[in-house]
Amino acid sequence: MKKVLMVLGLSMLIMVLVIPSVYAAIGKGECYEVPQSPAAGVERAGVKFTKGVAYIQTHGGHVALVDLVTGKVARIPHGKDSDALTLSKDGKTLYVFSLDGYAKEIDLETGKQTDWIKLGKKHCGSNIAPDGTVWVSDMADGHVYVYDPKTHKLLDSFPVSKSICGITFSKDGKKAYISDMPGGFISIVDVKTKKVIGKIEGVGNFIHRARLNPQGTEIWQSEGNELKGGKPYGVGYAEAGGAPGGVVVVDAKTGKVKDFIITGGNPHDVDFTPDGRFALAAVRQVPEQDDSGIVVIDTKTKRVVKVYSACKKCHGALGVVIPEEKDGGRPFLCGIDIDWNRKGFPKKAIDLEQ
Amino acid sequence: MARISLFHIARKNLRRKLFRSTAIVASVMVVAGTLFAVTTVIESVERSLKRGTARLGADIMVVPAEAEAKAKTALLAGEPSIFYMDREVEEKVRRVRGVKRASSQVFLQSASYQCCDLANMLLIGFDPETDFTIMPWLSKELTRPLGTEEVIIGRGITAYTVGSKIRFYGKEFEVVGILEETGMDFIDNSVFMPYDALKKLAEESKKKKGVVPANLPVNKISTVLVQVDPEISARRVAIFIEHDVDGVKAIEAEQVIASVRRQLFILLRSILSVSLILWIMALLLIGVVFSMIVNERQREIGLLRAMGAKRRNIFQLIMTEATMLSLIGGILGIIGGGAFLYIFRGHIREALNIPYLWPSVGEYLVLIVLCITLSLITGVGAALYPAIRSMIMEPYNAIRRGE
Repeated sequence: MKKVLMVLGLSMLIMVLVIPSVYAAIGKGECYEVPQSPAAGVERAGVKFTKGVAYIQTHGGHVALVDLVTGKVARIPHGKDSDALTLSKDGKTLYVFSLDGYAKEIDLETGKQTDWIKLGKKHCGSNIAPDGTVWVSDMADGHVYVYDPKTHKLLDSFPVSKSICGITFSKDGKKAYISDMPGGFISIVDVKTKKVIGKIEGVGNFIHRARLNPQGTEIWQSEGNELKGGKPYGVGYAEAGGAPGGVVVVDAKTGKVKDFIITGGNPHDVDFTPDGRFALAAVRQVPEQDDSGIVVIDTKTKRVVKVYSACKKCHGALGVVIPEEKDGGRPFLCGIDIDWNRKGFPKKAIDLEQ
Repeated sequence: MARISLFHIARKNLRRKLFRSTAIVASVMVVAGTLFAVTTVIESVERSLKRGTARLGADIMVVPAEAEAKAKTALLAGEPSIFYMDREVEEKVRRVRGVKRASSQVFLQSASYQCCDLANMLLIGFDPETDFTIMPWLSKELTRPLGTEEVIIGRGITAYTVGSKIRFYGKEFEVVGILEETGMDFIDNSVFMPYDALKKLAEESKKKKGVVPANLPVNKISTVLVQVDPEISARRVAIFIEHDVDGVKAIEAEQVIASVRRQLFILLRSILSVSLILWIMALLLIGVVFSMIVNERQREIGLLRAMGAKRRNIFQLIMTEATMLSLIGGILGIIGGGAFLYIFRGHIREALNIPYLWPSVGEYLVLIVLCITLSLITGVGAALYPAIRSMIMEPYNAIRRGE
């Protein structure tokens, strides 16, 4: 009996002492784990996502998918060169908007796709508005086109500035922040009246899509400055000798630029983990990788902690060739939206997995 | 002794080298003629589109979605097209945000040739109670409502005048008004009557023997014309209409003008590029010819200087010759371009397949002045350097070199 009690006691001691320390060695979010050093509280570099699939729009007539757990890639062909995409709140439908001004819905559960319908001229960015409609920016005429997913029709259109791209909404849903690419500024639009009520100037050189962090305090604005040997390179928009591409962090309250995080390459969009701990930037031509991918940034330390390859696995390994005359023969990523509840690819929607 | 004027000497010089003078005149004429013809066509289309859409009186034209292409062809090329949608569309459109006024119209094509009837004509029935395009014109010109046996015709129907009788489907109507010319066949070649008159015509045609019955569907309309609230853009209202009303297409008048402009621009850009090349060539040609003239006439210039002509007189002489040649070339070019437009007006209209209305006298004058100015710039600009060169020649050296 004494022996039994001794074994039980020791087991209890082990459970009390060891399990919490093992548990403490891993920092946990809902969808990621951050390894920590044995000395509790000190995080190691890197992050391991436990779920999540990233949908990234491309110029190749398909959406690229990256499984954030395994790093595997897949694609959903839709047929038109596009920049903008938005995932529905329930993660079941993907809205894609093409560079020739069309919209399409892709049912991720069944793989069914609607016909393309005409909205504007050249769509760049999109986002779900507080009323459930999808706002789609147009870089050709500077208008926002409001797409109604209920009726699958164009609902409204209004002017913002000249060549707009990113759209993100304030946490209370009253304001929209809309980026003007060559202007390098963000227009503040009253969601109710659809009128421009303010402007955040001097955000960047050639800005693309932006996203408000989940706390609603910062706008993370992608700034594409593709450089090689200090000179503008590829289809980048850099100034010679300028800073490499990165993400500009703007204080949503004051409208002041707080920080600039260099990712290199040509970042085009940013999304966040639900708690805002990590930002994931879709970057064209990640430096030294000859690939486009997802660059993961720790929002606390503002450091790049991980890079996912998004294109090379297909265009390199499987030999899917891009003609030289198209984007210089290189795969281009644009808008990104992540479904943090999904584990694995939507099998019925994809046609290729690597 | 009579004084010999510069103009007299210049005229003599030009006559003396008739072929050379004719060649210069011809090159200026080609440039001026091309420019005149092209700008006249651009001006004509612009004018007719503006007037046509103003006459249409609506910011937006709502048609069945599947009839968009037909409606645009009808608007621009005037081809009578028939399409219908449910009458309730009018009420739905009226309820859309930004719509200030809406009024429906019904189209009916007159029967193909039948004795004494006007064939293949677009009959447009409108609602006098809601109409805002025909009635305002009527109240100004006719000062009374339109009767059920009265019609208004477009300016393109030239065989009839006010008071004439006109027959459709065996029924006679009196022409009580003629709309001003718009250049848009859709309006110029159409016949307008109240919707009730059109309905009555259709009903009666079915009862008459030897008359093709008019196939006018019940409770259907062809289009809803919309005037938008000035606070909101026509573009937005068009989007609202297409969103709120199923199965329709809202065509903005401005959009139609813009598309024609684009279409025209592509066509005329190439012609204008050729004109520019011609202009540069003419400039070079005239420059070279005048340079040759100055070289050939060194002795003459030297003698004139020796006899007391001032440098200024020599410069003026060359410039007068250039001015005369370019002026004659410009005028002939305008006459040639104008004649070309007049002779081939039918072909041009057919080839463009877009509204076409000749410019007004004032606009013509502006175009003529512009073309003559360009011709003068061409001639005078090209002869400027040779004229300066001739002016600075020393009389003795000029005579010696000329020998």
